[in-house]
Amino acid sequence: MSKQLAFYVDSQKCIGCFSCAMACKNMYHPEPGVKWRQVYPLSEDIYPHHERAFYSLACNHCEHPTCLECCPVGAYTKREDGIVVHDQDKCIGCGNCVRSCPYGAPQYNPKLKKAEKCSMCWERIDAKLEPACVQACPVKALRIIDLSEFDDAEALHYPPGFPRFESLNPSVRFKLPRHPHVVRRNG
Amino acid sequence: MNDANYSLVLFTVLAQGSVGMIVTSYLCFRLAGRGEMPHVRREWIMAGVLLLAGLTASLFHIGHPFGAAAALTHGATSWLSREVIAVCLFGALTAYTIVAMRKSLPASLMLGTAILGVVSLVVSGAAYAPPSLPALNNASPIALFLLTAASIGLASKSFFGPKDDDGFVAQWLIFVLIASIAVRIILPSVWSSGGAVMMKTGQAWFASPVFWLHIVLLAAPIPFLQKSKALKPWMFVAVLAAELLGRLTFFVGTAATYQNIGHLF
Repeated sequence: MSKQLAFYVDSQKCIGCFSCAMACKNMYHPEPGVKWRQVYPLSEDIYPHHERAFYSLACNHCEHPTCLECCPVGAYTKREDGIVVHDQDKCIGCGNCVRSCPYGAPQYNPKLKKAEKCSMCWERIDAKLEPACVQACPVKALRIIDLSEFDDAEALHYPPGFPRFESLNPSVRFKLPRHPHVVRRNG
Repeated sequence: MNDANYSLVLFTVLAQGSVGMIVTSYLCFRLAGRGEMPHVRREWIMAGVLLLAGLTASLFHIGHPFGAAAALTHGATSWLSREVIAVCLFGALTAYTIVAMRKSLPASLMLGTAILGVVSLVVSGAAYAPPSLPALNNASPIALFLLTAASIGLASKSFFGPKDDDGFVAQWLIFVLIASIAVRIILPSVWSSGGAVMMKTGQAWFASPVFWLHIVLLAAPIPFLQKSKALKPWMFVAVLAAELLGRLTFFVGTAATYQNIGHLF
């Protein structure tokens, strides 16, 4: 497998503080309502405890990105390290990528009338820095991994609550939240 | 649930109506064994006007309409590019056929245009079947678009005659309208017993007054057609309105996978 950078989301560590989403906003200043990274709370069907659990998600930089395939003007490219980059100069704002991505990664910018999405901070990656979201996480619940070298048998590709699209092969891996230890008082 | 994409509603319905009119016109011309008739050219001009109106409407859903021509460039993988190419080719061939009809009716050219129209419709169906919408990520958009084309095309004969064709066309219109209603009830029913996102789609369609109004409008001409076998202009208006409302439900009520992240699928 060639190099494929990916997000590793550790839901066991994640406390749902939104620092990652805020760091992304501070970095790129998207328009109000436009979110490149979102923190999704897991429903009680998946994690039935008073403590809550979360998935912090942005673009998954899929191996076979539907945004890249469906874009009628070829505004998306995939770099050698697997990062999917959107070229706003080419974008005509048709919204087809926004409608097509099953993970809701591309967002429509109503001011520019163009699509935009997480770039995995490729400029920072090229400068040997971590993406803003990864750097901002106070509990180190977000990491960048290279799937060509990643070998963790416990990491999940499609945990409950995350859409399963094997044909796209999203470049993200998860660690599930640990269920709280139940202490029962006897007698 | 989703934004009401009015420009895409207009584009898809009008373009499909245009295909339906041309295919119906060709089939009536061939199957009914008619010779040259002046109304055929008028019918094709009307279909061309509908297509032009649809294409114009489609520009309004693009953030930068002046860059629309660039959408022709990624046909290698993009169904949207293929749709734009197919619809533009269909429009160009329709215009050429209309010009060629000044002297006589060019049967082979009419057949070629009708076939290209159906191809553009199938390609368009594929463009509206993205992975994000599990309910539509299959052949159902193609089936719905074919039914839209057939119902508008047949209903349009109320304007163009000849009246001798009414009984023949009325029978087909009754069949297409019943099939349309059946498909539009069966699809959401099947979705309602599917996965979480499909279930939400089925429930949203059935909960929408717009959806039921479109079913009522589709059903309205059936008893009159059965009784009199005569096509009336109001039937075209009812069918066109029904298709526009049905397409609105298609865009607004279809749930996407990303709307369910964090919940069981």
